[in-house]
Amino acid sequence: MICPYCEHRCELKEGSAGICGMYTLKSGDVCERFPDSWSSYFVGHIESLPFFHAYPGAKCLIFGTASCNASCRYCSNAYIARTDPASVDFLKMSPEKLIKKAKAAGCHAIVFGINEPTVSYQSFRRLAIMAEEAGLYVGCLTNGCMRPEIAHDIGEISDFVNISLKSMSPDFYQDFVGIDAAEAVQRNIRIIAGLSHVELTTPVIESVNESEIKPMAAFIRSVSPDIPWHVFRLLPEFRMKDEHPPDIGHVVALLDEVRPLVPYIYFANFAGSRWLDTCCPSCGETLMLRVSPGGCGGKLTRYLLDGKNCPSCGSEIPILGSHCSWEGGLL
Amino acid sequence: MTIGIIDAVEWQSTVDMATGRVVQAESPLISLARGIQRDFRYPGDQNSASSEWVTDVGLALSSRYRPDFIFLNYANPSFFGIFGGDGGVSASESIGFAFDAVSRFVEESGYTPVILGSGGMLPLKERINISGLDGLENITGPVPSCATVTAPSEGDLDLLGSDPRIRTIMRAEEYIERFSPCAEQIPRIPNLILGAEEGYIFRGFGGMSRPIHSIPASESEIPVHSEIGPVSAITDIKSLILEHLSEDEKIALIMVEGVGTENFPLPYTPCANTDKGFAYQQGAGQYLALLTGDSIGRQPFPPACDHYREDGEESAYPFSGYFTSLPENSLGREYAGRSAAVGSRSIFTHATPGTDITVECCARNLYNFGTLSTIQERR
Repeated sequence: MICPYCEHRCELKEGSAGICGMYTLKSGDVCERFPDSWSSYFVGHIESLPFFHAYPGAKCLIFGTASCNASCRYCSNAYIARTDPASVDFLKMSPEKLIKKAKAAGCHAIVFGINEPTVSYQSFRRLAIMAEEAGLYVGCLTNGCMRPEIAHDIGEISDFVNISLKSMSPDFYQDFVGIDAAEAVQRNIRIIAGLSHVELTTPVIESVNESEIKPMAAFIRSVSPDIPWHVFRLLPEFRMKDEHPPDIGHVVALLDEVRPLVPYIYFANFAGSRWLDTCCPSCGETLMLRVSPGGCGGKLTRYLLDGKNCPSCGSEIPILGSHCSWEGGLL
Repeated sequence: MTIGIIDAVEWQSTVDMATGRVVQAESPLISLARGIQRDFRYPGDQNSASSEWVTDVGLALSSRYRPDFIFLNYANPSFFGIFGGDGGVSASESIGFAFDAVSRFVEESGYTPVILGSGGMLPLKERINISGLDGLENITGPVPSCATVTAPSEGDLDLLGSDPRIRTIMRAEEYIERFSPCAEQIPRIPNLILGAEEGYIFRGFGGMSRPIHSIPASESEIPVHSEIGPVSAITDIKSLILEHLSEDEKIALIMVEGVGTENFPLPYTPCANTDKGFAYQQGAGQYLALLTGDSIGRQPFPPACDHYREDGEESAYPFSGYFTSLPENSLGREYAGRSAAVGSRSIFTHATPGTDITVECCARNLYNFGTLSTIQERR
């Protein structure tokens, strides 16, 4: 039986596991080895994931499992994404219980955001459907290397999805990500963007993929110029630990060149980034202020839109949902 | 205003620490900080060279700013104990490296030292899974020996009470009666505070899943090597140092984390690390006790707290973790002369000593984002 979830298309046999180690075949059915089992769950800002144009200010219950279907050389979560899932001390918890905790903590949303949801898709799907019924928004972060049927389903069960667009090049995916999925990722971005709110994330690696910023911007524009694009200064980790982090000035210059194609570009993953605010593409007014204390995204510090419109020129800004209060509810 | 300078390796940004926004600011001290950050790149929490980094930056601050009081913290032994280190360096070797670096600082700088260990490390016995409670559990940090529970049920109390791995189960009312907390702390007191027995930490909401080798012990006594006279309690160190600074002595207060009485390599006297029978955990509470002289009840936070509840858009000091203000009564603030701090324990380095200038690693969850310095423009 071929595993139906990701582009590795592993052949599963009774009792054996595929590349991610998270699925097995039991009585002819593909089953999770560790269903409803979470490696951790905690509260975080929606902007930290990052989502900058979905429910600004929302408090999220961020959770995940273990393992991944990719094997990025620079993985920043190797301790959980590149480990044998059988060695992980999971917290077993029903969807109902996790949702109860999210609500008790005053969360607006739940987000699968620690590792790749495709490797725990059955659990994520169950949880997402129940969370929506309970009045919570649902999101996830994904590398986009899933089968098209799963991409379609993710788009249907999620309110917002951040997809990693690591490169346009098949060679890059083979060499740095360990999965032949360049075309599949682009296909899946189109599928999910047709069904859900999508933001994209690209880690920039010095002298490796920065030359792809222009073709990536052109691709994003072809899907939708409204897609927020989060460009990360890659902090080399795991097998690239000794590499040099990208030069910030150089990357900023490259991004400025493509801003006419994709107006909502953000540059982060370093403390103190000045490129996290949302500005009106029409008049330049600053609409949402954020700070980067370090780490992937940022933290919202001021929301200056008039509803979803620029208070200066009235242009409508593409934002999913309303401004949320950390203390609960909407603003 | 407290100015922050972030050095993200070959790129610097100057911010208002209270708002996190970029500001245009120039002063001799700001230039000095920028230069030091350019000159000394932080090696990383799991790199044994980080102890030498603390000493190198400390010596640079000493020669370029000439403070009368300097605070240094060396967190490497603790990080190595908890997470392991790069290059096969063991936790015990990292203690040797840290004290070599401390000795070099003392010899080359000429300061009179007060050196203390924050407490030893213990092998991790087990994580106590409290995710099944009816109430909402919460834990903070990678090695949570304390936890909170909001709205615990009677069943939760029975379950927790029967667990021999849990040492303390304290309701808010009991906590208030025992520690008489200040007005700032009271709204932060959770319904229930849990404390684990030695060798155990909690697992559940808010926790991390990183592999852990050992955990910091909460010890009733910590070692202090003091060349300005004996101290009997951690909260007395601040006043003793202020007294000697007023006599024109130049003092270096040096904290080495992850070192207790059993492996402190210098002559020492044991110093009480407790308040009303509760041992300060290695972390914010202990740093505040040392640098403000405040015991548990006078600190802004209880030993376990739901910090995430206060993290909204309006919360101040976004680069200072869960600190939403910087203490007014810290040693650096109360001393009128020049003061400086440097450390590899990131946020605590600027959030607790109140010195004119601080330089720290800007590392979060072991990810090395560079360095952060702060400048108190108050003179």
